[in-house]
Amino acid sequence: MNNVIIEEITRIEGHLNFTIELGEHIRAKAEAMEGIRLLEDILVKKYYWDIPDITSRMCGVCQAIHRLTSIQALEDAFNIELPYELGIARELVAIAGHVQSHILHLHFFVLPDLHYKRSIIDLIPSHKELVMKAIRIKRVMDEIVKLYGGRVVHPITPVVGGFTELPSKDISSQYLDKLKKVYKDAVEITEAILNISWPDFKRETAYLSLKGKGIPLLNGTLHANGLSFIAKDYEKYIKAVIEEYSTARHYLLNNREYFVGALARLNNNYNELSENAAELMEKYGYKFPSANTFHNNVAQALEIIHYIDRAIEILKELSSTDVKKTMVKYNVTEGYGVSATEAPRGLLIHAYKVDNNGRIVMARIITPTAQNYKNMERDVEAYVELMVNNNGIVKRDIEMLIRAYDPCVSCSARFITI
Amino acid sequence: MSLRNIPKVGIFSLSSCEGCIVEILALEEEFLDILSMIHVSDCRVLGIKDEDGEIDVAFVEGAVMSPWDEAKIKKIRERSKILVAIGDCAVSGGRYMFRDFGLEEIDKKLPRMGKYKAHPLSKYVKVDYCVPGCPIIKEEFKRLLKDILIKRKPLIPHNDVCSECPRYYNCLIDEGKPCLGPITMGGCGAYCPSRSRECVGCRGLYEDANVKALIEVFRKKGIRIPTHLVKLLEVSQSE
Repeated sequence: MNNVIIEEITRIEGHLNFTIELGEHIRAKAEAMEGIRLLEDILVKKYYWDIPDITSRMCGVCQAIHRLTSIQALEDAFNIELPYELGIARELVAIAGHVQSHILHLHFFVLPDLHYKRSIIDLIPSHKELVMKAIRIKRVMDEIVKLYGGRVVHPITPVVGGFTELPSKDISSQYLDKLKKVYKDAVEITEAILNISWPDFKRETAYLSLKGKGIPLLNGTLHANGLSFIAKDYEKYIKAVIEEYSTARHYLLNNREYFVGALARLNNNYNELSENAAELMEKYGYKFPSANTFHNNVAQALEIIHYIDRAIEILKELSSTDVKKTMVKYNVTEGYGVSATEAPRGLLIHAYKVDNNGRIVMARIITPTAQNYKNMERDVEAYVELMVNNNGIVKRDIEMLIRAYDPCVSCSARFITI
Repeated sequence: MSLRNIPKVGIFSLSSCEGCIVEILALEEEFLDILSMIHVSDCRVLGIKDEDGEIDVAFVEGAVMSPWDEAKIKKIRERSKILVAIGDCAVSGGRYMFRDFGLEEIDKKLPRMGKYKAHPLSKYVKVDYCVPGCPIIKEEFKRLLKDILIKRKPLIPHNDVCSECPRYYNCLIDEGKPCLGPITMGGCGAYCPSRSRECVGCRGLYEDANVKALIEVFRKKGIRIPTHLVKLLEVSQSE
């Protein structure tokens, strides 16, 4: 039998090919075709203040969370603790980045599939209302990132020790109103995703994410199928595998493949969903934990509402008083810092060793998509086997399965230099 | 131009973070307006792949970092009448943003990719226009597209960032921050300094940049000198 090769999968972030070897044992290979972007090596010997600017360039979609994670890891190394109001401002930047990324994935990348269209552009004639609503909410989210983070793509104002500046309480209250105004539209675009009947494909695997109150994005302990550990212990459980065929690293959790992303977050935290999001989940008959990879789309859709609810709470607090001090004082010391956060596509870990001049000695970055490759391969194998036994292989359906992971190849593509 | 005079536009991506495309998508409603004036024939992120045929304008982000990047950019050049490099990766190989000019050490460790470092497009093909910056500024992209469509000569900024900066009385350098505004190409409206962040020089050197003098100023004022500034001086002197 011939191999199935899918080249340059469209509507994902970055360049990914898939080769599926057919035969007695089906074997799938996820091949990142991104040029080797040696970001970790570039960080070594640089001073800490350059790091957040560079790490945010790892990915054009989830740059905000990369910036925040590297800042948090450096703050961990220097033992910096932020006051409450700066913490929630950071959370707001993370949330807005998160929701705009979900809309980009669900409404720009996934939705065209379901209507047998190749692109959102082709979807406009038949679904203009829906597309415009999605764009409008994305715009509000982009504006929030711009206000609190300084810029939509590659934010600039969050720095080690706080922010270079933050908007006034009046602006926060303006955005509170704006967000409330588009809330109905947000529910509508979420329902458009929940309303879809997804392929029935189940495969048991491990689901790794942060766990805690309100489905945390920036802190919490790591959980997966009964296993629980803190960010600093990540090396004990998460191990890198290097595959000749890919420019990205692959990872295993306790020697097995695992899933990171919205589905993992909800599988571990489903009873923490906001009231409105939980109501929607029930209305459309979804249940978590779920072992259906396609439900990652559902989990992302529910997160849109969950995190908008949280953003409204934060904006209420920020519109009551002006943040007077945007920076805390700190000393640069030798140290080791780790931060584990939830990027839109799943768990993200940054770890740095810094010398007493503030220069980076060692940098490790584990991105969500890199962690998902092994799980993606096993999923594709199982899905192809199912197809072989039923109606034959449909490339478009394999692409849809891969797209459900919301892969972000450019951040995953880095080479290990040991 | 082809197709009832609606120009065919391709948006391509080589090795990069794809932030420049995300920036273009962040035009939101305006992007839809633009779509009514052009025909997008290639944009993988949007799901449009048209491997053949002539293109009127190709926008390319990303650096050439692999054999397949090289093959791709050569094919794009063959197909397009006008080729525009967008973003620091495509314009300079990302050297202004990543603050690395040598990478010799890394090269030794990495035999696999052979001759490929992060190269600007211009090393392999003729580039007609450049949109600098990391990321690009969507307004600048919009203006260039418009200029090309109406066949007007695009404006290239000849000034530094300082001349566009609103912080005249509270200069970041006076506050002790290593702002690269005095040597960096303007056109961004001093985006970062107007948000209290020092300029990191992502748009590259402007034509009369005096790197040596800036290092001297930093030294006198006791400001930390950004690691790559000395290398930048060597580069600017050798070019």
